[in-house]
Formats: sequence, structure tokens, C-alpha cells
Amino acid sequence: DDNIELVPINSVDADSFYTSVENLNAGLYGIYDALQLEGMYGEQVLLDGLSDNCIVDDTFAPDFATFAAGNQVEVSRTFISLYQDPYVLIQRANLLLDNADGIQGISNSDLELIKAEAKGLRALAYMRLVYLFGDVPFTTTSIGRDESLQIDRTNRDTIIDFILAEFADVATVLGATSSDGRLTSQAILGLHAKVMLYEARFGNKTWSEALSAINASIAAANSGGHTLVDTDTPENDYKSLFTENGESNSEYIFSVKYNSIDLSNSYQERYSWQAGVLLMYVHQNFADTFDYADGSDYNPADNTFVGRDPRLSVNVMHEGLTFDGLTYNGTDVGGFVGANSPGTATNLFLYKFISTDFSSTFNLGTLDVPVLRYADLLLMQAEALNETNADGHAPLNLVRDRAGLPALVGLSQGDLRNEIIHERRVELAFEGQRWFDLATLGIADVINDIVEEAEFVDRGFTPNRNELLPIPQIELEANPNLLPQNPGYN
Amino acid sequence: NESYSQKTKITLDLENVSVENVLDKIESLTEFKFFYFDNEVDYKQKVSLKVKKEPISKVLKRLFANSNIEFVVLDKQITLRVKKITVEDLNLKSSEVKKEDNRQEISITGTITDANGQPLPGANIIEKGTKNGTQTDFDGNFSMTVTDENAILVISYLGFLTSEISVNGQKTINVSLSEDSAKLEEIVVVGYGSQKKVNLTGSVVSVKGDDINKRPITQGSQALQGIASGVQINTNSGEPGNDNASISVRGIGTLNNSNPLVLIDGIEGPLNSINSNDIETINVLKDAASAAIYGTRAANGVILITTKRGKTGAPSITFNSSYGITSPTVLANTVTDTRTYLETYVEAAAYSGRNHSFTPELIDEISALGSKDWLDDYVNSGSIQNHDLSISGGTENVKYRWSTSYLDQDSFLEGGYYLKRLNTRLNLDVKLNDKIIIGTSLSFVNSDNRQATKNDAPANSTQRGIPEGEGIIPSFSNDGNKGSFLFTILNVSAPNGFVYDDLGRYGGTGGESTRSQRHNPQALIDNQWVDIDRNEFLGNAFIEYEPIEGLKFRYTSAINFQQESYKDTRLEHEQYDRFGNRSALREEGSLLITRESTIYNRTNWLQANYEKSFGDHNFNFLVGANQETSEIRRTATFEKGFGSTSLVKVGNGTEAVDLNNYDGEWGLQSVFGRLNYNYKDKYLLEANIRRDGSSRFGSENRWATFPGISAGYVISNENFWKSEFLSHLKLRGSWGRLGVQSTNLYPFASEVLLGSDYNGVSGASLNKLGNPNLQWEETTVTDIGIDLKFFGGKVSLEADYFFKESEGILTDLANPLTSGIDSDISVNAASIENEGFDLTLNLRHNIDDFKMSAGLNLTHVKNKVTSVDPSLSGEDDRRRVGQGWWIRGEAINSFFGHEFGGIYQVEDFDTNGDLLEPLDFSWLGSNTPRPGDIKYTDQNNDGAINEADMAVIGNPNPEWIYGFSFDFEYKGWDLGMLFQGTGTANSLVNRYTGNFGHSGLREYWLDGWTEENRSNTVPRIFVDRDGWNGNTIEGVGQLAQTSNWIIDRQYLRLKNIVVGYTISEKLAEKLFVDYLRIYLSGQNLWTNSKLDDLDPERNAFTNHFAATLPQAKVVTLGVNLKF
Repeated sequence: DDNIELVPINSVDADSFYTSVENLNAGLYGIYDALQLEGMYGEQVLLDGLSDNCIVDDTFAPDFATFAAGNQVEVSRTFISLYQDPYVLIQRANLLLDNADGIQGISNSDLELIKAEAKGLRALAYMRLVYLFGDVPFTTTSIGRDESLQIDRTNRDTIIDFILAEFADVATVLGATSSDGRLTSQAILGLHAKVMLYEARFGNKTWSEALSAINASIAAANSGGHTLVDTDTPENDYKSLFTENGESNSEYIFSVKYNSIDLSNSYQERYSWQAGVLLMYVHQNFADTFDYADGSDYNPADNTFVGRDPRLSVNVMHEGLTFDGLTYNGTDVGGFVGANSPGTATNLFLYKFISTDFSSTFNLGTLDVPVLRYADLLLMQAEALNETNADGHAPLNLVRDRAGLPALVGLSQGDLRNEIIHERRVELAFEGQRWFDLATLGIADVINDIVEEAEFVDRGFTPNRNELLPIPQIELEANPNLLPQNPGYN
Repeated sequence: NESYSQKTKITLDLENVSVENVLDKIESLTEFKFFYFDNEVDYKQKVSLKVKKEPISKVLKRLFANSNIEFVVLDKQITLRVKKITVEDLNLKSSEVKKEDNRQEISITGTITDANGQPLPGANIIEKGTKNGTQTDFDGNFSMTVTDENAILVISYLGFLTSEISVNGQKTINVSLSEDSAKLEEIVVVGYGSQKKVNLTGSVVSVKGDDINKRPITQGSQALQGIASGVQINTNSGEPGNDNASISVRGIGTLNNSNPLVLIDGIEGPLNSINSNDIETINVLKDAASAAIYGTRAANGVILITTKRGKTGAPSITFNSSYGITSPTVLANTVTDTRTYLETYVEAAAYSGRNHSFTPELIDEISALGSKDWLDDYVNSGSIQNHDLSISGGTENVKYRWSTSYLDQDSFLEGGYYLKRLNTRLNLDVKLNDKIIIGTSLSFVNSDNRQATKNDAPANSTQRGIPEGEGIIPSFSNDGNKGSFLFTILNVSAPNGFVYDDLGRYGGTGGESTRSQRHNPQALIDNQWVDIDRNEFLGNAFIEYEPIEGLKFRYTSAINFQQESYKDTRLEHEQYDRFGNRSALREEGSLLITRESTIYNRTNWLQANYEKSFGDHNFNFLVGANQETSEIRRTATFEKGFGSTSLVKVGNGTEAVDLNNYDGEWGLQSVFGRLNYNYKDKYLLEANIRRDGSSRFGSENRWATFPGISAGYVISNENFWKSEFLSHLKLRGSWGRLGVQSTNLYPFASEVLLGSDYNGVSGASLNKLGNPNLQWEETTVTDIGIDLKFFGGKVSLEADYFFKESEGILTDLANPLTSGIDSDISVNAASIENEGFDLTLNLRHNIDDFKMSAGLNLTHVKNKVTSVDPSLSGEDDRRRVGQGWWIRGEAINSFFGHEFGGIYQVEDFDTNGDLLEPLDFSWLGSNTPRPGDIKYTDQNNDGAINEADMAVIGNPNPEWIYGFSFDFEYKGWDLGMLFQGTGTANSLVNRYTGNFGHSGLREYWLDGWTEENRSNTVPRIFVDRDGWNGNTIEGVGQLAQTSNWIIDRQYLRLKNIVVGYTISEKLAEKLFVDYLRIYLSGQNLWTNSKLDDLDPERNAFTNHFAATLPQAKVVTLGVNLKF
């Protein structure tokens, strides 16, 4: 009967949605939308809280804080996002890919383009899952509740093979440019190169395989007009790369877009001093890692912010910096911005990605979050060259030079390796790269070197456990096929 | 003063019908009720009768002209009986006796009345063992002579228990007879019809409108509170318009909406906005067999409200008016002295290691500025006034009742919060001819409500998104979050604040504090409010056709239309500290949230009834079909950034502008049937069946069938039953199954929604997974009951044991994370049991003019969640829902946390401040305890405090619910008292300080642990969320709640006391009125509760904010008037 055979008025049934070109496009943007989720790139800066760069307040993100202390991690909100949100993207992509082929009124090439983007984003989500959680459930078709309660975990190597094949495949379909923040072939090649680099670090791929993938990626990026931005002018300084005005710069190969009418990111709201509550702050260890601007090593005993690598004062709000006409006195018991900050154990705050002026738009969170930058590719290239016993100085020096540091010459392979890792830390700080570098390079025990700045700061790394995050407990309870938990967790 | 029997004229034209039919006919045309014994009146005898506009006495004389039947008319009651001895005969005979025997003669006079003091004309008085006897006259008076001073008088009257009185030399003998209730046909409204109470086999509790309206009642739920057994009413808030009570019948049997189905004249309607003076009866169907005829949605019980209808006669006008003064039952004990407050803060800051500037000199200086007792200043008294006028009457063919009422309630919270409600109703019945009646019930309600805003302002529209699902206001103003932000602020404002500064600007704290501060209450009053305007139209129209005797068809069409405009306005304003610095800018750019909602429900309902007797076998058949459809429309706006506070209107905002919309529909189709059978009113049997189809399930599971069966055995109707002590005894038993449909409208459908936008381009995504396999939630109830009456009804007891089992409870469970769907999915998962008993005991006794009655109702119900998610095993099967937990094997919404083990003392630590008996607290966070902190019990002694140590530490559901009442009448005076209470039930009252330092303080903390005062019950005070206590007290950080915050909230409350005086008939006549009563009533005047500063009826979960207003104490003066 008509009176009891009703369908939702405000939504469309999944079965009938993918029937028009218009809806196919909307579905594609729905996949991109998932990039903005907390567990994808919405809280990317939080990943640095797993590394030795900064620390997250334990009441805000208890799982991050507990993990950062090297302790056993129980279920909590944030790791759930890190696990769930990639699957949100994957579900959306799978649904589109399941249904795209039947749609009328679209040319084959346009259809293939949309499918390629869906596949590329899906592979990116799997990439994130594998490097955070290891073996994870893997599906390339849309699944419902029952299937997701039964699914097994797939070996990470199998998924990596899939990701690499998918990236390679997609790169041939996608165009070289995109006007509205969608995936390009350069972005896909860059991500492909990144996976190859990580796998080479693990020894699953050879360094020469990685190098050729990186070289291909850089070649594509160059042909697409991507380059290091010259940041020597005051209007276009290094800081501006990471502000609203500079976010469309040619160095960003792929970034997740945020704007005020759509979803806004929470960086300024949550992680800058303006937040008014202590959610995340920067380790002294991180500030101390910046050399002097002349290239000489910094000694923590010097206790100065003067004459340092210029990027220090871009990444970290520290004593002596001026903001909105106020000079930070470095102790901050109130009196700085809006009298709202409770201060931190180190009195160092996140400054990268934070607006340079305090205005009504301070909190809007319209800043894009970089996924892949050209500087990253150069540092990847330097590393791969160095590991294949070739000379990696040149690409490294390009990045140093842009930052205003003198070139390095004639370093041994070991020293250069350390310089590259160091350069990655300072150049790519707070971009969520550091944790993946520590984990894939197998050097995460540097976390144990952190001097804990206060009684309640607890940092540590437990080998054979902390390399991977735990699968959220509730998911293991719901689906026992996911057992056993990752090593070291019980 | 013409009596009803005189002024009622009857027209009949009947050929060859039974006497019974004639009587039925007269009953249907008039208000007369006939009483007779089946074995005395040959009611099957066929007669023909033709009368035109004749009074009842003439009609009956003609009807019984050739029989041995006589009749007595008493107002509207007509008693038929076998002619015995005429009055003349009796008098003659007694005079003969007198002549024959000239022994001493004792003349006796007296009055025979019923239990309510109404005279009984025509009652027989016979001297036992003789033929000497007489009858009472029209006023119930009699006089007779007896010859033996020890004579025994036997007094009898049909429908009443026969009474024997010893003369013992008395000259005046007044007797009040008790009703033989078993013989009286008390009628109870049941599903789609009515039933003689004696023949009832299910469990139904009935409340009469006349009983309700002796006290002032502003909403329907109050009428049932403390009166109806098995029914629990909990009123969470005392704020006008925000005080809708939660109702549960025999425990909570579902995880979804547990409110019972409310039907007003057969149509679903709002209980709370009905004018209580329109209520004829409220019946609650408690067992499944009674409710099964309503199949779906009946699992939580059914409340049937019947409204008053017109009766034949001249217009009768009633006017009721009351005015009451309200005040809060209880308020929080807060620190209202600035010096105490600041000194306690200094102490707390020292523990928390906080810097502050409060030197003793500064404290002196600030204290000298004075102290504010915010609650005292802003919570005072309010008022309730209620005026009600009705006119009813009718002719033989047209009967009407019109009423209107106006309720005006002003909150005791300062700020001009009010509810004004206007109700109008017209009920009309028109008899077209002997076979067809048409009628209608129309009701309009308009209300204008201003409330305080509920919460702190939402930052964006997603926090105020449009709720999905049915109901006009499933969220916000009716969402269980019944807070008042202003009241919250009053509870947590520090005493060192001030209302205005010298320039008339709003004050605040600040200056010496680096902390942010609380809102200024006056500024909230002036700048934030919620306006809710509602219109309800509830109307039904029916036509009834009786083609042949005993067969009735009835078709009803009804509309329930509700419209609500909701507007939440928050204007920009500033606060200044005592140095003249702006210390806060509130609601920059102002904020406006509006919502327009409408619901349009339509019901079409057709039923047929056939009543037939074959000898002693009596049958009643009912079949029917019902269709309901509903359309829900909501549109909401959210905007900020208004350039002027005087133009905060929709469309003027420039920031965060958002429009939202929700549309929904549901439909329900049903067919149902019932068979009643009784044999000689001794053996009773009833069977129900209903088949429902709901739009809320997928095509495979749309339809479900709900059966019910019940039986009764009236032992006292057996011939062998002779007991006068236990005059009525009935055993009842019933079993039935009921359904619950989803509260979600489309739980079966997967939904793709727009709104997953990226980079300014509209995107769509799968938002919800549907469950096409979803089925009806089923509740099965078994009920065994007994009805007892002693001494002819002076004492009556109804008791029921019940076992209620709900399975496949519709539960919204989170999807597996791997599915990538963040929203919940509806599944049939949990199961719950409720087991218990309820009973109603009534006592009645009259001593001359002094009449008293007492009633007790008692409910015991034990609730147990038997499963939450069947796919989980053992102790994993639990889920936190709000502050409570659903845990397998425990009562629903149980408190689950850590056992309080006292307070850590100095001796528990070594000199380094480490625990002598170390415990691993890492599960709780990085803090470790210090002296004065709460001690958790390590339940499993594993040296760590974690999830494994959590235990059930409280149950919020009262296992005992009771009410008892006393009523006394003496001459014109009446006194009534209603007590109501619950047995043990827990409340979680965490005494979290809020952000102490800029937040008010409960006196509780003045007893807190210090070096000097080493309490083992109250922890040390702290600042903000610092340290150990912050997490544990606020209950954040791994949900660490302790049992020391669990308080018993059992209470006993004098819900109402009323003293009334009714003027005598003589005086009434002089004043040209029929009835005039003046009363003084008090509501919630006395409460016994362990909650010293919270209302025990409030929500079981409470923190320091205490955001809901306590119940009101009300003292009311009122008048009931009839013309």
C-alpha cells in the first residue's frame, strides 16, 4: 500500500543514487570530503604528537598521550578516527566504483577519470592504514554491516602491492593539472614514490627501485610547474608558505582544502596558544634540533633563539617573537594573546600553520593541509641517492638554501643520512611526516632521548609494540576475526 | 427545581421488541440507568410501545402495566424489582398488629442513604422475622413502629448490600448502605470500546475526572501521579512549559521512547496540553491482553483519555478558577559569602599549585565590596492561574459540551518566563434517527511560552542540526535536556560578582583573576531567551450506524495537527570588572536560531461491534481497521553576525548562516478484532488480535501480528458463594504480545545525502546504512490478578503480578569502524525484563455525616537488561548511554564505576609522596593521587585501577513506587491528602566544582579534606580540572566515577493537600447557583528526601550545574461553580 511503502524524503537510497552523471560527480566530491576528516588530514598535526616533535595533552587525546609515553593504549576517541576515517573514504570510493559503470550520458574517458580519482584516493587511505596499523581489513567493494563484522585482516605486503599497482595505474589516467584541488598525476606519482621510499627503508623494495620512482615523480612535478618557492622576499617569506595567502603555492603538490563555508580545520582553534587550553605543545627537544643559521650546531646550553635556522621561528612560537603587536615574554602566564593561555611546560607553541595576525579570521581554520610538498620530494630524492651510494647533497642543499642555510658538502654516507633525516624533521615539521619517518626508518627510539619538561610529561618508545598503533578494541570485540591485536598490545 | 426524571421527555415507537431493548433504548436516549436482577425481570419478554414526549414514569408504567414489576426512580437511577408489598398494605398490616397486641410500641424514624450520603428513596425496612415493614420516602426518610425493643431491622435496596440493624431501644436509626459493587455496572473504557468492570479480565487502572478536578492540575500527567498503580510519573523540571513528565507503565521495557501511547477519544494526542477539566476518565491499560488491540506502540502501556460529552438537559454551566503562588521546593546550598569563597579558593589553589593574586589584603578589599546570593536574588516566587468555563446540555437529539480554559503560569525564576495556554473544545453528538448518530470532538490549543535558553550557545549549526524522526520537538525543548542556562549560572555564580557597575554596565569578575568568568545572570535575562509558540488542533468526527439491534458500525476520521515556532535569541553584550575593564564580550554579533515544525497526523478508523446473547452465553464481537499517516516538516535557521542587537531577525545575520530542513513521513495500517465471551457473568474470556503494517520496516518485515488472551473467573458469582465478608472475588489471568516499531522513520533504508562538500563543491556520500531485516520489537506480558471486595465494597483490593519481557529491542548500534559508516544502524538487539506487582487498596467508611476514604497504590518492579548486543559475550555486553549504562544482567541505565574506598590520608604516602601500597593508575591518565584525593577500590587486587575494577554502583530506577491518599468529608467540608513517593533509587550527584576560581561553590566542599580536617568522605577541593580530583569528580578521563557520588533519591512527598467547603443547597439556591465550592490547596508542600539540595523528582543524573529547575511548591485558592 502507498501509505506504508515510504522512502526517505531528505535522502536518496544508495541503490538509486548512482544513476546520473551529476550524482557521480557529487559522489566523487564526497570521497574528497573524507580527506577532511580528523583521522585523515583534519588533525594531521596531531600525528607529530606521536613523534619527538611535540606532545598532546592527555585529557584531550588520552590515547595519543599514552602512546607517546610508550605505554599500553586503551580504546579512546582519536585512534578510532585514525582507524575509521580512512575506511569512511574507502567505503565512499568503493560505492562509487561499484556503481559507476552503469551510468549513462558520460564519455568513457570522463568516466575513467572519475574512477581513477576514486581509486587514487582509496589507495591513499589504504596507505595511511597500512603505515599506522599494519595488516588491516581490505576490500575493494562496498561492504555493509554484516560483512564488516566478519572481515579478516589482509597482509600489509599484499595491500602495499595493491596500492603501488593502483597508483601506477591511476597516474596514467589522471591529468597533469587540476584547478580545484583534485588529484593530479604528479600527486599520484609522488605518493607512489613515497610508498616506494618507505618500502625501501623496510627493505621490501630496493633503493634503486625507490630512486627511479622518486625521479619519475620529480620529473612529473617539474613538468607540472611544481618547484621550490623562493621565499627570500618579505611578502613571500618562508612563513607565508603555510598561511592562507600562500597555500596555493607551487610547492604544494597535493593538499587537502579547507575553507570557511565547508569544513574548517582545527589547527588554530585547538593547537595554537590562542586555544586557551593546553592541548598540544612543542618539545624543547624539537626547538633544540634547529642549527644556527650559519650551519653550525646548536648547543642547548646556549639557550638562545637568536641566530638560529630561520625555520625555528616559523615553526615555533617562542620568547621574543612578536604577534599582533605583542611580544611574547616566553613565560606566558597570561598576558600574551587574549589572556587565555594557561602556558605550557616548555612555553613553546605551534606557530607553523598559524595565522600571522590576530584578527576576526584567526579562528576560521581555512588553511589547507599539505599532503605532499616539492621539498619532500627533494629530500626523498636525496635519501634515495645517498642510499644507492650516489651523491645526495644536491637536492638536500636546494632545501637548505631555500631556508637560508649554507650548503653541505662532502659528507659521508652516514653523516648525510643523518642530515637528511634532520632536514626532514625541520622542513616537514607538523605535517604529520615525522612519525612515519621514525617508524619506517626504525629510529623511533629517539623518543626515549626526550628530556621530559615537567612531571606530567611522559615520553617513551617501546620497541616491538609502538611501531604500530593498536586496532581499536571495540572493533576487535565486534569482529573477532580481526584478532590477534598488533604485537605488544594486550 | 425540576428533577431530571420530571423534565426528561421520552419518545418511543417500538414494535415487538424485548423489554431489555426498550430499557437499552431509554438508556441510550437519556441518562437514565436501569438496575435490576435478571431473575426478577423478564427482560426477554416481547412488547410494543409507543409513547410521545412522556416522562419516564409514564413510560415505565405503560411498559410494566401487566407485570409484577415496579420501579423506583432516583434521579437518574431507576431500579426495577418484583412488586412485594405495597406501602399501603404494609401500613395497614402494621396497624392491624397494633390493634391485636397492645404491648409497648416503639416508634422509630431514620434516613437511609448510600455511602455518599445520597438519600435512597424506596428502600425496604422490615422488622426481622415479621411482616412488619415500610419503605423510605423520596428523601430517604422512614418511620415505623416496632413492638420489641430488641427488634432487628433488615434494610435492603437493590444494588446495595442488605444491612441488619438492632434497634436496641434507639428512636432514630440512620443507615448508610454500601453498594454491592459486584452488581453495579461500573463501566471501564477499554480499547475500541468499553467493558463492565466486573467483566474485565485484563489489568486496567481507571481515574475519574471528578476525582482529578478536586485539586488544581495544569497538565495531564499530574492527574495520574501517585494515583494509578503501576504508573510512574517523574517530573524533571519545574520550569513552565518545560515540565513535561516522563511516564512509565510497569517499568522501562525498551531502550527507545518508553512513554505510553496516549489516545484522546481514540486518537493519539498530547497528554500534557489537555484541559484537565475536560477529562471524563483516564484509563491505563497495563497488561498486554488489554493493550494488544492497539498492537503497535502499546508495549509501554496505553493511556485512554475520554473527554466529557454533553447530556440531555438544560444548559449546565460550570466555572472553575484557581490562583496559586509558586516557589521552588529546594535550592542548592552554595557558598554565598565572598570571604569564605575566596579563602576556600586560596586553599584550593595551594593544593593545585596555582598562582593567584589573592593576598589576605586583597581578600579583605574584595570582601568589603559585599557578597551576592545569586539564587536568593533570582529565584523567588511565581504564579499559576487557571480558569475554565464549560457549558453542556442537550436535547434528545443534539447534545453538546463546549469548554474553554486559560492557563497562565509565571516562573519562580526571575526573568519573566511564562507559559500562557488557551484551550477550547467542542464535543457534539447528533442523533439523526434511531439508527444513526454523528458526532465530533474538536480541540484547539494555543500556547505562548517563554523559557530561559537551555545551554551555552552552540558554536555552529551542526551542534543545532535538525533532529530527525517523529514528534514535533524531539530535541531541544523536549529532549530530556531540560536545563535552564540561567539557572545553571545562578548555581555556579561566585559571590564576589555584581550585577551592574557604576555606569550601569553588566558586572563580572576579573581584574585580579586571570581566569575567564561566568555570565552575568541579569545580562542573561536581558539578552537570551527562547520563545515557543504552539498551536494544536485535535479533531475527530464519527458516524455510527446501527442497522439491526446489537450491531453497530462506526467510522471515525481524525486529524492531529501541531505547529511549533521556536526561536532562540542571544544578543551581544559585555561585562565589566570592578576596575571598569571589559572582562567579557558575550555572543559577539548575536545569535539567532529558529525552527518551524509542523506535524500533520491523519487517522481513518472503521469498526463494527456485535453483541449477542444466547441464553446465559453472552458474546461481543469487534472487528476494525485503522490507518494512520503522518507528515513531519521542520525548517531551521542558524545565523550570527548581526550588525545591531535590535534587528536580530531571520535573514539579517551575516555569519555562519545555515538553513536546515527535515521532512519525514510514516504510515501505519492495522486490522484488529476482539471476542468477548461470558457465561452467567462468572466465566469470562477475551481474545484479541491485531495485525499491523508499518512504513518503518523493509518490505519483508512490514507486517506483524499481535495476539492477546485473557480469562476471568468471578468466584463470588457462584451460587455456593455466600460470604458477606468477602463479597466479591475474581481471579484474572492474561497473556499478550505487543509490538514496538522503530522511532526512526526509515531505519530500513541506506541513505545518500548531500552535504559532504569539498573545496566549495557539493558532494554526496553514503551517510547511513539501512537494515532491511529490521523487525518489530516484541514485548510479551503475562499478568495474574485478583480483585477482592470486602463488606460490600467498603474495602476493595486489586492486585496483579506481572512479568514483562521485551525482545529484539530496537537498538541503534554503532556500525563496525571498518564499514566506514559513522552513524548508527538500527538492529533488533537488546532484551529487557520487568517483573513485579502492583496493587490498589481502597477503604471507605462513613459515620453519620462524617465520610472518609483512603486509597493506597503500590508498585514493585524489578528491571533487568538481559542482553544489549547478543553478539557480545558476558561482561563485554555493556554500553554507556549518556551517564548511565546498559549492562547485561543489570537494571537499565545503571551507574557503573569505581567503588569509593575513602580518602587518601597523609599516612598512605611515604616522604617522597609516593603511595606506600603502590597502585597503577595509568588507565586513569597521568595524574597520581595525593593526600585528600579519592581512593578507588582495586576490586580484583591486581595492583592497578582500570576498567576491570568497575562495578555497578547504583540503580536509578525505583523498585518501589507508591501513592496513598486520604479523603474526609463532613457536612460541607472536605479535606484531601495525596502522598506520593518512591523507594530506593539512586542518583548520581557529582559535586564537581566546575571551574572553581571563577565558578560558584557548593557548601559540600567546605567540609572537604584538609590537613586539619582529615575527612574520609569529602575529598580535598581543587581548582578547575587540576590533578586527580578533576578527572574523577567530573567523571571524565576513562569515565572514572566513584560510588561516593551515588545518593539515594527515595522520597515521600505530600503531593497535594486540599481543604474545600461546599455551600449548602439552601444557600446555593439563594445565590442562584447549583453548586459552589471554595478550596485551598497546597502542592509539594512537604518532602522527605535525602537529597538535601536537589529535588528528588529531577533527572537521576546530576552534576554541580543542576540545570533543571526544581518542582514548584504551589499554594492555590480556587473555586468550583455550577449553574
